[in-house]
Amino acid sequence: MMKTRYQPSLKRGAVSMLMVISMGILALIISLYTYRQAIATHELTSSIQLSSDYREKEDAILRSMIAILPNRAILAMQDQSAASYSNWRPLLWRSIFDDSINLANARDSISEDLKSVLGLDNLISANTGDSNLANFDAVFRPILNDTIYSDYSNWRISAGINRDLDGNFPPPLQVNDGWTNSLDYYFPIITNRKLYGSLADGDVGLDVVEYPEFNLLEYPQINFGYAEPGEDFVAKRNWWAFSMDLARSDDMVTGAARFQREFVVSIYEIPSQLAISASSYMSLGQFGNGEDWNSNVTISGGVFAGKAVVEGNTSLSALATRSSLTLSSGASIGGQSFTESPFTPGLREQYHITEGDFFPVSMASEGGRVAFIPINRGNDYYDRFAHSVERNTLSRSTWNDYSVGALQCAMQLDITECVSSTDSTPTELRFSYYKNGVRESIEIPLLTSGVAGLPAGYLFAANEDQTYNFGGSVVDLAFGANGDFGYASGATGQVTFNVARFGDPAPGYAKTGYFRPSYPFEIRTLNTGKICIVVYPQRFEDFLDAINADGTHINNSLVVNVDYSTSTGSVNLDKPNIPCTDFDYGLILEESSDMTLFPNGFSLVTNLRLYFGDDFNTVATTPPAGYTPPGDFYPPVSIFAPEKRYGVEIDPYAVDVSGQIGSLASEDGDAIRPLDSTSASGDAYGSDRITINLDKISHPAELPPITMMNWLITVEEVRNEFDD
Amino acid sequence: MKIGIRKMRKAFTLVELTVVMMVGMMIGSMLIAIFNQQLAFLRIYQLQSFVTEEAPMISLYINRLIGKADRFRLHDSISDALSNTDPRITASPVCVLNFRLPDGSMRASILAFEDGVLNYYVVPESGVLGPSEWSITQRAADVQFYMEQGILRTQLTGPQGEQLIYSGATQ
Repeated sequence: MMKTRYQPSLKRGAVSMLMVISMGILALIISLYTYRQAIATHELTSSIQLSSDYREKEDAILRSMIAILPNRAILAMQDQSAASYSNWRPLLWRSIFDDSINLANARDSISEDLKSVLGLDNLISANTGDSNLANFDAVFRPILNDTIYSDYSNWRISAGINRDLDGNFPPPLQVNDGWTNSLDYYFPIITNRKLYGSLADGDVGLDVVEYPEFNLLEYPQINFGYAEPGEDFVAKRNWWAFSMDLARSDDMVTGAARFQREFVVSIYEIPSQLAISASSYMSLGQFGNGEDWNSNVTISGGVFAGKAVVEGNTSLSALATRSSLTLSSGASIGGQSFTESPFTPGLREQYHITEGDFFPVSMASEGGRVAFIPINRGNDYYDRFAHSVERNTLSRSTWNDYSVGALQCAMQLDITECVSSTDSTPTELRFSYYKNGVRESIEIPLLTSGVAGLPAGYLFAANEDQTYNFGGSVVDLAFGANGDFGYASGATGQVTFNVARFGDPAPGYAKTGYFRPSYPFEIRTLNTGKICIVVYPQRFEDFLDAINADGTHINNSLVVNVDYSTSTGSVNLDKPNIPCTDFDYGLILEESSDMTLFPNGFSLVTNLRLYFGDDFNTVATTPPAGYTPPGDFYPPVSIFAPEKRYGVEIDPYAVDVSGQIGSLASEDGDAIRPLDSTSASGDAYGSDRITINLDKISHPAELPPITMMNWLITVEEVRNEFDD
Repeated sequence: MKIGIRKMRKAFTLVELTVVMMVGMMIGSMLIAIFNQQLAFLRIYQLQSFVTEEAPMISLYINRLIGKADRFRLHDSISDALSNTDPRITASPVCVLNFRLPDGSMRASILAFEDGVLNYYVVPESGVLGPSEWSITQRAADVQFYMEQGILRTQLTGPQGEQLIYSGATQ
């Protein structure tokens, strides 16, 4: 019998083993593939997150720099800023970037404080982007081929000064002194010495020879609407350029590769030029007595305020504020009424689409990478004696000289002495002016004439019918007797004191002729007993000519103060109060209707209550060459006083004001009402007696000698992809 | 006489065979199921790769572009965008981004979803659009831009209908 027996060629279970192994390998391959894909996805996500992180950090750094920069520029103008390493080190561009990184918290993804608050003190961060950014030179660099210096004190930015860069950059400024030219690469230097010159010719709106200090520039395309984007405005632009790549310091660790982005950071110097412009808390739309601004009030162009509340049914073309804004339901801005906050998300974007690019309501704090800094020194703006001299500064323009109107005036008139601590009648004035470009000063004793009814300062000249030769001196004359006098001013050469010339002020009495130097100012006591300085702007031209001073194109601004300092003034004099009181001196402006005698305009700064005793600047003149805006051209004038009143001894029936209005009040306290007007007696005018016609300055020829200044700080990226 | 009963040693009983076959089938089924599951997972993974691989890159590019822009405008077509006709805030395939340059000028670029491709154009000063600078993605089924509460949102629809919405704001 034949037997067959199955003889397996493989061991038992081999097939199962093979199948299991095969399936295992297949599963492993698939798992590995999946794992690899998961890792790749994770790395991609990580890389993208890192890139986003760097971008956010860079943006935060730029925003921080916007906040830090103006402060450092101001410090570079202040006393002793160049005196020592410890003083100027924080003002270096290098320090500004360093501090911007710190302020932006860009070295860590989460701060130690936040960790502690979240109870994560022992957190170990896996963020490879966290770094102390030790390789600073790799992160921040000058642009183009400017030399890179590693040493902290020598790190330089690329300054937009004294060189013509390519068309991607703004027109440069020029400066003649080597100090500023050199330091501008190390520090943010703001100085009046930086001017537009031939390098900017054709790149700014007007001839740089005629308008080197401020010219017409295009307002940047930003949401903060001091002006409309793209619109011409009067300004000077200081700028610096740098490149930034936050990833570069640690790219060996992170493997992150980004582009070196180039930026231009700018400080626009903007003289106040809006119809109403003040960094104060302003109430717009109503007078203090509750009456609405009516049809007598015309405001063309925008309004800027530190904080603003718009009342009633006010209509404004545009309103920009620095920090806050409240609109009444009846208010209309740019033709728009707002039933909700104009800063409601989406409202501006909707407006851009339906109405146009310029949203008429804006706040600097909502403006993105933008800061707007009104240079407001408050009450110190009016007073030369509230400031000490600043020396050893990095900028050739000291901060006080730059920001205090009283210190910028070419002519200075001070009350330097009075009778006693209980009798404030002035006994001496000091007048300072420019002669051949050098400041000179004269003391003017206010001698009492000793003659009843004759103002101080008059001296005997001649008896009746006698002649006196004054030569080239310009003098004021008085003729009379028994307390009654006739007056004449601005006389020179031979003068005969007789009735034929002066009339007969004292019939029946033997009269006498008196004279005094013909100053364009004098002391007058009002019926209320208030002692005032009277200033006659129209007399300055002759007076300056008589004392061989520079003309009214140089001596074009006047500050009137009380010298209460112990070094040059009198212990009997007190610092004037603000708000002004009836016991302080006042200032009266008379003979001021024709300001055409000041070809470059005229400015008056005083810390005294100002009385308009006459029409002011009502005579038009020929505009300068190249001035094209329509309408009459009046000499550009500015008046800065803590309080203004219309009239002197009597109240004018009504007031009519044209031009621009500002305020040096602060953002704190009660809101000011910029259009309120007060008569000499202190009564507020009703709305029917006030006519206001305000318009913006649109040309540098309209800038008076003294203006208030604002800084606009922006950062823009140079985008080479748009090089056509 | 003895009748011997021989044991069946060389074969399986029906029950045994049934059990073995069932076990075999179960094992086979399990192996096939595992294999299929792996393949299905891979298929799903591939299908979702738009979300995991492409979408993050699109997000990076779009957010980078929008984050740098100063303004944006939405249009239905590139020709509308170039002529600034019919700007809108509703879902649109074309987004114009405006950039402020240091020299004071304003330039523009365009993100446009056209023919299944999300393209990026730089608008030259002449205003005449050339070919796109680059294509951000060719895998998206749809891209729509719209504005919601001032935020520019980008809705990305993937090839499988998956939707992602990116939100960003200009400077």
